[in-house]
Amino acid sequence: MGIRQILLDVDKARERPEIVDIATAIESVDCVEGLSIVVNEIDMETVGMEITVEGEDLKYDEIVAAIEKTGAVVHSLDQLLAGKKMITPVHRSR
Amino acid sequence: MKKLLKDQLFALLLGLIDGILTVLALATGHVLKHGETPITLSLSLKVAFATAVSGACIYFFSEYSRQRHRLIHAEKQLNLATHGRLATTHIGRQILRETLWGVLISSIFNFAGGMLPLSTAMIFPQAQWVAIVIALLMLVLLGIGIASLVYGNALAWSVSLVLAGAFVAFIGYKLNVV
Repeated sequence: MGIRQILLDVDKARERPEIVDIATAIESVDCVEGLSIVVNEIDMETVGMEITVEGEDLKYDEIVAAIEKTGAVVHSLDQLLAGKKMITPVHRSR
Repeated sequence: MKKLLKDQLFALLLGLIDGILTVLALATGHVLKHGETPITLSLSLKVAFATAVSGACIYFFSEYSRQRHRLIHAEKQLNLATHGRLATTHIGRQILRETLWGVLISSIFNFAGGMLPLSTAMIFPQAQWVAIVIALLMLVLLGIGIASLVYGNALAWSVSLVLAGAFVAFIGYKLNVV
């Protein structure tokens, strides 16, 4: 079963690393076809981001290692899509 | 090159000011008390080299430890459980690289800041006090430069730097180091 899409909650310090460096590091991992980084929180010292990575057979551990090598920190894996078909997640409403 | 100098402005100013002030401290006594013994090229090189080397060591240890401390602070902000983790990432190598560039730039400007006033004393062996005047003039120009960079008061910056220079020169005169 190949992982096709992951959504990660990532934090970094405000000054370093640059977001472009994080993107470059993820892009250098094999099988990554595209990614998006959305800043969703800017604190006094830290920046919170949602990183979406897409590919055919993503190597989760290698992606996390690449991100952490830049100096950013992966807090959680918030969404994962895998299999032959891309399924649009249905969010439950209460 | 322009970007490097812009990024390393702190190192540049530190080197230049340190070079000029150290020369004022070391050479003022010699120039004013032993004016008949001219400052030679060898003496100028020794003084400028010594200030550049000591400045380089001071810059490396203070700047690198400051940057490492900032990494520890960032680790706390990011809730990392283990200390020293960020230093093993690209950031760790980046701050070491930046510090080493800073050391190089600081040393070059330190050497230049020391060598320039002493060179004028070699050109005018009969009026070696020119070295002190040139050093103080360099501080005035530096003050104007810093003021334009930080949109500050040029007169205040120049006067402050010249006062610092005059104070250091007075100490150097009293101690008569060289």
